[in-house]
Amino acid sequence: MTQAQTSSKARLEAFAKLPDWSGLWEFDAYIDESVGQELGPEGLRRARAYAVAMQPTFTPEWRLKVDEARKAQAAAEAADPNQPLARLSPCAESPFPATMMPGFYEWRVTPEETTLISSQNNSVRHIYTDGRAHPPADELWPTPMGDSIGHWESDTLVVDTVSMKYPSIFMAAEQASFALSPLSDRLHATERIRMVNHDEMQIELTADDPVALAKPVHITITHERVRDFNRMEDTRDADCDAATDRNPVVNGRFTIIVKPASPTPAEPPK
Amino acid sequence: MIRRLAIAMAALLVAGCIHFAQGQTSSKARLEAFAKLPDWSGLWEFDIWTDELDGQQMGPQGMQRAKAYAAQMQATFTPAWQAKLDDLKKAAKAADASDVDNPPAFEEFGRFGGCGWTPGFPATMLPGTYEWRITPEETTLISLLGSVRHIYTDGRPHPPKDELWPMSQGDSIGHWEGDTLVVDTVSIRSPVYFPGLARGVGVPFIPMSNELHSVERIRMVNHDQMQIQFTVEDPIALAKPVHVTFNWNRVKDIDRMEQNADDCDSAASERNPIVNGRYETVIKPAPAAPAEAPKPSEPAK
Repeated sequence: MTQAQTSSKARLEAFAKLPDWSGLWEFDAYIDESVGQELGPEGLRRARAYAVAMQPTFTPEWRLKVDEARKAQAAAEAADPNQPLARLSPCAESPFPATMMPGFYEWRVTPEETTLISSQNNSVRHIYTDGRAHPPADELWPTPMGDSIGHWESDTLVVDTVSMKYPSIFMAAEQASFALSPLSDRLHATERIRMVNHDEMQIELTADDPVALAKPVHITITHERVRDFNRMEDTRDADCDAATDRNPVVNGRFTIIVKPASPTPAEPPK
Repeated sequence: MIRRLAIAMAALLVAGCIHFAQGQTSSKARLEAFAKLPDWSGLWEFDIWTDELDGQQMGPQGMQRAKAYAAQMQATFTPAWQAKLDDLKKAAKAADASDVDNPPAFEEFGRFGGCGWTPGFPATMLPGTYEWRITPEETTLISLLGSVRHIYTDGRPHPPKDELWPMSQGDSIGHWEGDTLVVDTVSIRSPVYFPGLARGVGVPFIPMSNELHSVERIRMVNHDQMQIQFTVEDPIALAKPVHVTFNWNRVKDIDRMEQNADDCDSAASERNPIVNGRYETVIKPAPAAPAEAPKPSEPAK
């Protein structure tokens, strides 16, 4: 009974060949994160380098769409600068491939599957490594994380992802902040993921989208081991409770709640 | 000389590669620990869904099991907590009666129900499909309803009180006793008791206090069945601890985890959106048939 519950010899042998990616990881732009989740000087330098590497070349038709979306966004920002648009709300899940950048990450590596859990709204990517193929077209439906299958080439996990719902890519915006840009549902992503040393994980991402991109985007993202924290968190626990959130999203905008000062004896309520 | 240097360089490179590859794989101790762990891979679901009908309605067998669970789940509340629940029941009835066509979307599992809600612990252990991810240092439980429980099995205790903050799934630590995972959970934000009982006593949900403490003993009893023995104690809400045993069955008809939130879309495609805290069934107007076309002479109303 007990023996029947443990892993087969083949599963144990397969596990022994896999890398140990346990621990927590984060995008290296947050290396010297300041208070308030602002990037520090080194993080800002890295973010700028990423921004340059990430610049996509859109097809002419998609370029028009992106420009229109930017104009609409700029107009919306200008209409109410005190309540900025909640484009990257911690309460909203970033769809793949944008999900590979913000927050903490935890890898759960076993022979049949590698799972990537993000602290950003608990998004979970299931990367099946048991040799299965993507489902046939009539059984696929688009999901925010897409359908991912993978295989190991020595210490490198090679991942193939299709069928994404509202895929978006992080791209450079002004002052090296990141903005989301939509891609089409034809997006096909390939990743080569490897722990280059004990404290650094490298993700080479190729995003190919014949509708949105004039040419594929190649980008290498580095995740660093988190040292000052030993538990995964879920951003929704801290930021998405209407009762405690000081900056709730209302109609797509951050709205800072300023609690009314209690009346002082000198100024009694009328 | 050059040849010797080349050989030495090659040897160093090979040694370096071997060392590097070995450095990435698990230590001997981790492999030995993994070998002792059970293999719970696959997908699982609460066994009341065993004969689920179309539209997520329980079948006869599931209904019978649900009734048995509801009997087990009956809790004895402290007098102060019972008074709170009575008030809640009155409020629920009044809200129901005020607009019978649009039932209130109560905060059943820690946040408003409807598409995309994620139940908090312990309610999260009942609905949906589940996947376990087991390695020596942690067991992770992923639910299709968007919850992820991280159960640390590396020997750590709960954090000290001044470093604990309430989270929807609480803080869980565990250890293995043979093939049984024993889990201790504290610090749950707005814990909600199992909804089956809630419906049994006529209120949409039963909040518990933040003093709730849960112990689970989880075991795969055979290849297709998992058993979860729950003990829930709450000195503020419960007059005595509740013991309940759930069974989960292996899911055989799907082989991929899904996320409930994946099917949530804009109000355009949601047939039962929540508007002002109430479910509102969207009935699309039927296209006008030629036989019932509006008369051109009829004035517009």
